[in-house]
Amino acid sequence: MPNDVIEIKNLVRKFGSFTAVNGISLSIKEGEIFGILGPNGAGKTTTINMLLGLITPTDGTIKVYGNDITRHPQVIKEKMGLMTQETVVDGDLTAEQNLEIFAELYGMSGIEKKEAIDNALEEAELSDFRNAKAGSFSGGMQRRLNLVKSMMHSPKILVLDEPTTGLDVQNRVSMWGRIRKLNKSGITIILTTQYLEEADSLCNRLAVIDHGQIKALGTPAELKKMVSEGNVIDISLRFEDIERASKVIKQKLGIECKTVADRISIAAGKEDVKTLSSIISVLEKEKVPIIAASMHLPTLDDVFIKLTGGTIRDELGEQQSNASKIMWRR
Amino acid sequence: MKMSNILTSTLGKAYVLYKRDMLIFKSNLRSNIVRTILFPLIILIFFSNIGAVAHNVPVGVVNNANNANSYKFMQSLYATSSNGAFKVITIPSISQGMSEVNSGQVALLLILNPTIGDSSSSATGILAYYSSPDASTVDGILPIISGVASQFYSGVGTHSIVPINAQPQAPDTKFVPTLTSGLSTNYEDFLVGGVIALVAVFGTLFGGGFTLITDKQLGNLKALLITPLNRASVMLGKTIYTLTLSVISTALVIVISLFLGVTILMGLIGVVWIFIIVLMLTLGFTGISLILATRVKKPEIYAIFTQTIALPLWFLSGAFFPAASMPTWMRLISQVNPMTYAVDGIRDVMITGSYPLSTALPQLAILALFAVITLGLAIKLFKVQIA
Repeated sequence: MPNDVIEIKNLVRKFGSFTAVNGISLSIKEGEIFGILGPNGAGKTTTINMLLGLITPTDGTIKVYGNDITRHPQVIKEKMGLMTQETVVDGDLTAEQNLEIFAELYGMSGIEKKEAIDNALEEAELSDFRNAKAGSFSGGMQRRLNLVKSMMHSPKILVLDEPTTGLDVQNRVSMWGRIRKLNKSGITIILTTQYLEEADSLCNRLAVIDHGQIKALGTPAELKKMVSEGNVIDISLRFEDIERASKVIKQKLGIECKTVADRISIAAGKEDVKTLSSIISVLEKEKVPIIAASMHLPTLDDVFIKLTGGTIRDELGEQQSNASKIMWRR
Repeated sequence: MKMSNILTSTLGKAYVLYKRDMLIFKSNLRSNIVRTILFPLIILIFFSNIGAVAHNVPVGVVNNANNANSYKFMQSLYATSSNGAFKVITIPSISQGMSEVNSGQVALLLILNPTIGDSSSSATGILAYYSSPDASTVDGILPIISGVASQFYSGVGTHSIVPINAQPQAPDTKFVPTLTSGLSTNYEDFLVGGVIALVAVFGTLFGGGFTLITDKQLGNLKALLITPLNRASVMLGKTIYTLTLSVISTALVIVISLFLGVTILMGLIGVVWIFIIVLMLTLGFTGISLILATRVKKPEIYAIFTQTIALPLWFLSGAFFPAASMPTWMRLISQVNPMTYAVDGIRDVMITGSYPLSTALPQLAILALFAVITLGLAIKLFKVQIA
């Protein structure tokens, strides 16, 4: 069984009266890709910042390779790398200069530095652009440069804060490939994301965070199982019919529905096909027009609906995160 | 051993950060240079042609001559004063005149000797006295009065106002003789000292502190801080970067000024003095910019704050108009304003032509104190706040 490389216990961080992280405990195993999933303002970035020693926890402990990071902060600098959420390269510097600064900050010089830079440029497929200003690069190129920049000191753990936010589909898929490749070479990866499909396809294990607390923790399959053993039924209706429809289904069939915007979602269990047909006939009898009905295996989206009462990027979530941002500033 | 390791590593990392800022500066070299040149150029070209510095500077005249020439001179002086640069006050006796200079009731005292307008006499026609706190005011109007004298008495010779030795009733410390060189003083010369200080300070405020804020905003700071460097190396790197910028901008302003015909009386040694003064001033303002950078999150807000701080301090430093023409409360502020001492020092070097250690050391000590306080506070306040 692989060792725990990171152990977080009862982590709390308060900003004034606002609690951004409220008692998170989790451990991350060597060699896994661990995803931290949650809406904006859920406490993902705050958790990451504490993990990297950039802000001090209000309470709780973090151990990296068995060392408490408040007592041995150098362990973070040696073992961990970070690719930040924003595309952080110095646009006014060339690709080479960007890497050179970081190589020097990590204490490299001479041939060691030159080789590290050459390898990194090759890794990022930017060897032909080494003397071009990073500001002139496309989003994907900048992200690649940023990734190799955060790997200059060959860390054992790589933290990726929303590595694909703002990238187009092609670049996103290519970034996933790079992350998998790094992981195969033995690097433990922690990534935060808002994209459920990203978490689903990349992560060995996931923690869903909302309002600073862990709502669920497990493999993607385990999390999906929490929603339903069988299929999930989605029925799209006119908005004004939603409330009536869910009442009718509750009364006639005794089934609880989750309503999401203009549809109702039902975790159907093993009797899924039968349930679908009885729901349709009940709604037809009550003259509720059905726009569409479908059945699918649970997705992480469904996990999210179940855990947080909304999709990851629905409007309510946006408002909440805006509200928490305002509170942060105080 | 361990202590020295930390020191070497701090210096090394500070140098890398400095190198990074300089590379960014260099990559926009042209626009950075243009920005640095444009401001002093505009100020010098526009304002140096205004001529009059302050309005209604009181000029006392004791007419010891009471001859036709002295009356003609008085008439001409009255006529010239109608442009508002100064006002003429006649004073009956030398001793009263001296006491009025002492108390600041008049900024400049002119004593008309009987030899005035007598081209055959080699004796001094007009004696000028002023007390040192008003030196900058007088620097502005002396050329005008000198002009009146030489124009009206074109036959008399050019030295209507000449240096004299302090007379017995004048306490030595309070009075400085006007120097021959003072005759060439015009507003442009007067202004250059202030412009050098201003450009250095503005360069400072858009130096290390500003890049620290943009680093913070863009997330670069976070990426830098997870590398093995300490807070001191960040502060040190930013400070050295700022000092470099101020040296560059000061050099540019000096070159422009020389090109515009401004002279530095102390010559090359004067240039060295100017750099020393500017570096001391810059250190203090680097502290202020870093303090702001630790408190403020957005570059826009930072820019507003820095301008709110820098411009009033500049105006109150006597850079633009003499401190003597300010109301008392402003004068008090100008006395605690570190920029005042830098501007005074630079002006001494450029216009007065003498900057003895007895003047230099106290002024530099004040600037050093200012730097120690602000930089100390900045280091204390610099925490990593990423939110």
